[in-house]
Amino acid sequence: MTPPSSQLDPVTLNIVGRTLDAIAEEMGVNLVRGAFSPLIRETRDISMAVLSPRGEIVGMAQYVPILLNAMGPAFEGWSAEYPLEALEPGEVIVMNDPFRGGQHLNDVFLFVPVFVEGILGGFVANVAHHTDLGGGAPSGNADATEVFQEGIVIPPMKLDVRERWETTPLVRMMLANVRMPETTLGDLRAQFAASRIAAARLGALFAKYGAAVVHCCMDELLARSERLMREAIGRLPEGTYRGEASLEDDGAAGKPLTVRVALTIADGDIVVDFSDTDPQIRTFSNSTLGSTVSTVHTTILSVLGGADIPKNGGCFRPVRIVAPLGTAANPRRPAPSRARTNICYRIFDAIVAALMPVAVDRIPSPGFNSQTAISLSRYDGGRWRVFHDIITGGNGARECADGADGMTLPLTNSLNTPIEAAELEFDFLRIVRYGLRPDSGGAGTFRGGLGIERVYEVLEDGIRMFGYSDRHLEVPPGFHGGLPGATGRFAVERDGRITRLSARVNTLLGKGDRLIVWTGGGSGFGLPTARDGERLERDVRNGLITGELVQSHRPGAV
Amino acid sequence: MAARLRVGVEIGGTFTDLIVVDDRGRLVKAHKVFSTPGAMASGALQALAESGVSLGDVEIVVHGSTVATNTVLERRGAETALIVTEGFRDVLTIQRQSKDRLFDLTYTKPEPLLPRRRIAEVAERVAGDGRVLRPLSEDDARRAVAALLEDGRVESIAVCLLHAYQNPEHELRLSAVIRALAPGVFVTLSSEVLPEFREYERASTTVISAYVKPVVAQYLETLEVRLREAGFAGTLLVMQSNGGVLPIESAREQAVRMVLSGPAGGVTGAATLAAASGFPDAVTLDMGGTSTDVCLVNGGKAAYTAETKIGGLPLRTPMVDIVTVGAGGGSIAWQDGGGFLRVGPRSAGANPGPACYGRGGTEPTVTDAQAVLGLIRSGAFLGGRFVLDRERSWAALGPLAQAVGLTVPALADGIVKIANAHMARAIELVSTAKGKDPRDYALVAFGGAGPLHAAAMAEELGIRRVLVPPHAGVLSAYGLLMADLRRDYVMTRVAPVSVERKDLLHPFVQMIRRGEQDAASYPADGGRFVVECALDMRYEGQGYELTVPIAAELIPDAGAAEIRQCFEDAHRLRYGYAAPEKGIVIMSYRAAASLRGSGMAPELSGGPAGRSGPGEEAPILVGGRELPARFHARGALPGGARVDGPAVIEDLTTTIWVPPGWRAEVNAQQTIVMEPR
Repeated sequence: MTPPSSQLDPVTLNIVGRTLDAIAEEMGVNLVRGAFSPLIRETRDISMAVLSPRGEIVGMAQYVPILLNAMGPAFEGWSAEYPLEALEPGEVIVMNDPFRGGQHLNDVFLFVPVFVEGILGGFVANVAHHTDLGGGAPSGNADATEVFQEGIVIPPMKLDVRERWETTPLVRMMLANVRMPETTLGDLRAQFAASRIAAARLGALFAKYGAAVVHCCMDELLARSERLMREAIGRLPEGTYRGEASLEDDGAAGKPLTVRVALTIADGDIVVDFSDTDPQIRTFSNSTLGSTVSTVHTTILSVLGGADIPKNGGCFRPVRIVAPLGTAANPRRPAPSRARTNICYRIFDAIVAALMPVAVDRIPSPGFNSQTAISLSRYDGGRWRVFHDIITGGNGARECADGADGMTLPLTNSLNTPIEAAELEFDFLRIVRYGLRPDSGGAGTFRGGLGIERVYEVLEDGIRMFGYSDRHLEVPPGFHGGLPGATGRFAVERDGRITRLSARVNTLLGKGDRLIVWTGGGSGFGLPTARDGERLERDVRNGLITGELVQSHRPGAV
Repeated sequence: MAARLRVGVEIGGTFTDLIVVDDRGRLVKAHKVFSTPGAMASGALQALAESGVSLGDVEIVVHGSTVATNTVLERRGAETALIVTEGFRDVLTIQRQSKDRLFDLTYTKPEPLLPRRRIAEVAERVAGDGRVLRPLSEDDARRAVAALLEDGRVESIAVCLLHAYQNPEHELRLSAVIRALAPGVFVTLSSEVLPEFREYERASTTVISAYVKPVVAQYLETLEVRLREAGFAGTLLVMQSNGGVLPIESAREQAVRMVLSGPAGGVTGAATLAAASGFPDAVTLDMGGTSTDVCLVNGGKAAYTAETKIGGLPLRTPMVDIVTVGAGGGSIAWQDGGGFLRVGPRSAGANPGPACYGRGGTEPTVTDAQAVLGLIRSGAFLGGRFVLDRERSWAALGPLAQAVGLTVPALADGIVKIANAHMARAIELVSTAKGKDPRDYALVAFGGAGPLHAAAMAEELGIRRVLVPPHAGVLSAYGLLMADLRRDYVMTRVAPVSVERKDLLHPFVQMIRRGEQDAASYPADGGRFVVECALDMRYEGQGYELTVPIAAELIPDAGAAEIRQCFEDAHRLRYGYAAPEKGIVIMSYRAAASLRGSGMAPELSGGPAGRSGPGEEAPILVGGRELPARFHARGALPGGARVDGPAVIEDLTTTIWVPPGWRAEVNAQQTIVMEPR
């Protein structure tokens, strides 16, 4: 049995802890470098972790948080069907099923058990967003009303990597149902190669220190983070806090979709209750349970985790989630969920709004907080090519700092696609403008971060466009008098005329069309009239604030 | 007739190392002094003056420094501006839009080196295949440049236009406009600094280059003038990030290639000396006061890489592939919020330094831990020129020991182990992470602190041989003298590796010719012209290339099948698989041209004759126990001498720890080889 943690020396603990993170980091580098789709290799819409034998995160790399914290629910999903005792060396689990712990279909998980001295030592796991997994439209389908129109569903399935996994029925079945089988296979290979190397590293760590010591370190790392997290929670006054936030359009009835959350803090625990959240909707903005869990964990960790708490699965032990089946936070099969990130952002916003009265010193005013993704796809009669791009917006201002301009928002951390990479890879498009939108940050003592403008020129006819975003109508105001940031927009410029598009859209573009994507700004914090004159001057000099917005910052302005 | 001397001067974060050899490579003087941050050139000259060498006798000075690195890290560069393609003014601000710390709502991106108002747009556009879609208008170019020059403060202008790596025409025309309007302003073009795709990384590299260029030029000029004033009439060579040296004139124009040159001299020296001892495959470990640099050497040659980050900003330039960890002798031990014992990355540096230096430091450092353990002693440290106060170390460790619940010696042991673990991780990053087993390599330890930690670290990694070369404490200066003249060329030419093509390797011919022309201008009286060629290749659809060496005999007429073979072997080694059904694309051509043998060959004979004495016995603390250990003076150990651990060998500029169970032997090349008994 493992020795009691009190016998563990701090040096071994430090070394094992660092190595667990390092294994995940190396897995990330290998996945990025080996991958084929720009969405993985440039945008890095991926995550990876090392897990304890019980599936808790003990080592992580810095990629997409909402995918990182997705490991827990996905693990629960597949382990409910495949008992851990029955796993054998060489077996791996592949899955994407949103109703068995997965995220949206595009996120394909790979879990690799690592054995030591005949027992289960732990897991290495990674998840990657595959650009296209079939369904009613390339990359994403804004018209889907069921998961089946979004692509191929992979329930948890075992593969044996000691054989040629590329030709197994599962993989052949998958590749027969997607638009870019070569890319899909290439990305899967990168996932497998990265995890195989990581599994070897974890095996080497076990071999070096022995299973008992490594497991003891894992337990201790988790226990320490849990303790620190409970202390952080304990510093908040006990009670129930409520908050809400809405998607502006459910995509069907044209009504807002509202997340209502009740946070109860007691005895160092947090219960996050979604019972009052709106029912699930027919369109693709539902958050399946795995996404809800991952979002809650990411949000709590961001708000309460501070710099001092080592981040791992132990941080989630004090958190309990109540999400009744049939709500938009835990929809029934077969609800579609491709655009789940935006309802997840509203979960983030609702929790932040609830905690605002007791934690305003550590949370920002609302940011643009809307995943804005577009894809441009072309079928040339022989093959599909799909360009998928993620554009971030402005972050909310804080009590003591401006919001970051054009930087990733809290749940996601995907990179932009270099313009040169996009144009070399996709000869049917050109990016003609990419920059910050001056004046898009909400005014305040500290101003919100600026949104982005990115304009694509389409060079051929018959290009299919898919896109989704939110906050195209309104951005909430900031805290303590900060003004709201600017809204985002999708529009097409054709023959000199500009036409706005919906925030959830499938459409067709032709040669010469320009797709204009604006993301919104973050909201300000505090009264604009209290803004420091020097900061204001610097923004004006650098062209980030112009015209009327300058006036709103002047003392005496209303 | 005065001796014709060669001098290597290496300025590091904590120490400045100086070495003087005669024209046959024999040591005249080795010297180590504290660096003088803020007045680096003076420090170098002072070290020279102290060494007692007359500059009139010196024929070559090779210089390595962190001046370019620190210019970026400390944001002390020139007033710089940038010109970009219209519509892309915010490339430096948006960066890749990501953050490095998840869950941190207070994260901000690394600040660009220049503010937005110093970025101008010009109307022009080149396509991905190099076609000009929108010509650059002369008027617009003039307007943009004039706007940047308006307040009269800009000293340096970077130009980074979209797809300029395919067609530099517009950048060249802008350069001409700038030179016409402002002849005194430095100009840096992305198509010259880094002709590779990905606009943010290219713009960042170009701006870093423009930002350091005036500072480096000024620094090198000051150094040269002061050297000349002091009577130096020889050649001044400067170390580059790629491990080669260039004459000062070439170094000035390629300032960006100095940015990571600091540790390169040591690697060159370690690789040369390890090979001389019969160990061409080695891991170099350079542990100084502030940090430790680790590099993998295969067949006597250091590994290379193309990208790193400095102060959070990406920099792509050919450089020795060095992994740096913030663990040096001066690294401070502390307890984090979670109660974990940590070491570094904060360092006590040269000022105030570790507590035992008595220069005002009070925080517990790795050096203090070693002093507590009794492995470094006052009499021997820096040849006895410097008093080491063990009591101060003990006092510095006390409060932390109490906080983490350990005795002071147990804490000292722990600090050393954690520092070793940081360094072991760095070794794994250059070896296991690249598919190389560290156990197949010898560990070459140098720098002031490296030989003190090396054997324990080797044990940790299963490495069975540790080398400590002669003059290990000043090897980074010694290595400067061994570096060859070298210059790297890179050219992006996207080319699918298709069966019909037979001319895929033809671009190398032109690059080799360019290398020959440049080499002809170097002030060297020896060396054989050698070019090493490599291709950056990837499977069609991948985003990152593998740099694959191309053997000379394949150039220029090898076919697609041979090139494919080279790539797939490399891919299999790195990722464990190949994808034969996928197309392969060449992205860039690389050629490293050097004058092999233009660096000095070290003289390795000599050393004391006779038998070694028994040394002196003193107690040390190891693993919580007091043990008697033998202390030997390095200078008293002749070739063939053997020392069994536990023992300490004290050199003028470094200390070597031979743990229990290990044996050290001085070989014929004056290198100490340590192995488990």
